[in-house]
Amino acid sequence: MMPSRVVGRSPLAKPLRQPTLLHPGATLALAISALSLQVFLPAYIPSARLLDLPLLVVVYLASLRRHVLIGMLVGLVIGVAQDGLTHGPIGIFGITKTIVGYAVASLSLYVEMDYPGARSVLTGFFFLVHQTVFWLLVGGLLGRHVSVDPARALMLCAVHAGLALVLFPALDRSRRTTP
Amino acid sequence: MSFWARYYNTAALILAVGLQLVLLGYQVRRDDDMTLLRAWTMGAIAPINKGLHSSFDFVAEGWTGYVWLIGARDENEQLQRDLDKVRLENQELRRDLAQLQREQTLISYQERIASKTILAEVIGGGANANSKEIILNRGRRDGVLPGMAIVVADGIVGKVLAAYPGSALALLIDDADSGAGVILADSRVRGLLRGQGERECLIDYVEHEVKVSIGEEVLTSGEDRIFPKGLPVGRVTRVESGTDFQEIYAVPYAPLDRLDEVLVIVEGVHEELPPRRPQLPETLLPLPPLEPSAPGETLTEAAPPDDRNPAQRPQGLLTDADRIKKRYRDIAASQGVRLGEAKIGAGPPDFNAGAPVEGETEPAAPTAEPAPAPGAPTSSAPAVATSEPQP
Repeated sequence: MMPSRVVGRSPLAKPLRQPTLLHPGATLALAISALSLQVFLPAYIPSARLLDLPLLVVVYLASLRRHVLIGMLVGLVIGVAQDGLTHGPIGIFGITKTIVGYAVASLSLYVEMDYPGARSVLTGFFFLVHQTVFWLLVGGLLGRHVSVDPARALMLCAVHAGLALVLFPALDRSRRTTP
Repeated sequence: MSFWARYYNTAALILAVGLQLVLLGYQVRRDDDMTLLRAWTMGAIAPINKGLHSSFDFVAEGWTGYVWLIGARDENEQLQRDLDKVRLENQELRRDLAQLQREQTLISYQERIASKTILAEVIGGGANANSKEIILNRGRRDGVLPGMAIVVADGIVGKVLAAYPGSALALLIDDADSGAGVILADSRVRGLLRGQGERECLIDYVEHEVKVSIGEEVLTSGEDRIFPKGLPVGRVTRVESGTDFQEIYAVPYAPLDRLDEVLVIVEGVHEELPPRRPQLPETLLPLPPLEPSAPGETLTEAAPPDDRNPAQRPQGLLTDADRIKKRYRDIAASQGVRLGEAKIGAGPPDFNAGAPVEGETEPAAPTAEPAPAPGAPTSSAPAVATSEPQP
């Protein structure tokens, strides 16, 4: 069986650079830090509750491995953990971030994700995907009230893209080359 | 490439999403909150957040307390101004509250007493520095007339001297020209309270025989036709023996030096005097111990003897007066005189001669003139028996 990370890749495509990874401990610390800050910051900065730091981490980690299953699992674990910190049913963020992780990892097979600009744009795009799936799940599947505000979503999309532009290069400093 | 190899990742995604959808459906249908999973997540995140919270507070406190002090001076000055303003307001509120409490006390007293009164405010003092006068904001228009009594809840204050249309001049009871008929609450003795120009007032015309105790309450007697009977006046502070009468000093209850609101009695009604305190009976000291008239004689307590009956007269001395009486009787006897039986024309016994020596009640007749000592001056004066021991 062929490795999953090369599934669907065009033989004419330019070979991607050797992926560089985070230390497993650093990966875990990054995920936990994102979840902690997600509940910590709104206590001091109320507008920080509009941010989705776990989403940024999912995008970042999923784009590193260039492995679809790992990206999907990263999204699943972080999403379910985020669900555990909310009062909503478990699975809402799990599903959305599973899909985002899958999509990011799949896309990283075709697009060079080491470019800050590309990752920033993709982060903004996947924020919109995340929001769309979230609205569908909460409003459509669970039938609960959810405020759909495209203008605010677009603004937050830009904010997350900007954050990715700043944060991802900082996180790249702790990456190491795959052995 | 097989079908599964081609759609391996997609199948994994569908499986992961599908499982979570099943989980969602299970939670919604069973209303299960997945407590265990939430506890795990919270247990992992909460300690980190506690640390973050403590660190943030520490840093924030250090930053705002020691680094970020821009505007602190301006803020301090603004706060100082605010504090001064609040202090002033607080002072005004306290003053209003105190005035309200005083008025409430007066109104309560006004309802309690039988006399009809009107409330008046003290708007000034008298122009004479040597007199104790006040000016009230009520006058003839309000029914205030000269001679009306002025009281507060603590006691009487004074009387209206002159009434004008919108004000009145009143004389306080501690003024030297002021007077009020008073009665002592315990002894029910009447007197005249006169001001002295000081805090203490004098109660005059109380006989020396009247026993007045310190702290006794003084009430109005109603005899001056100004103050109704039974109003509290003050308390006796000291009692001195005067020339014709006792000098009894009393301090008025009313705060005469800080009056703000008073009641003017426009229709006086006498009050009931409070009941007298029970008087303590006079204490008689016990008799002094009996002295044996002869050595070895023992005396026992018995019924008091009748001194007029010589048979029942006790042998031992009873009092100091008895001892003095016996001494002079002995002196007179030593000179051959029995007291009360002296002959007309005979001189009185010389009591300065001193008491005779015990057992020498009758003087021995001098047999011979004692020889004067060599060099001693001779004297023709009669020898005087002395009690001093002879050499």
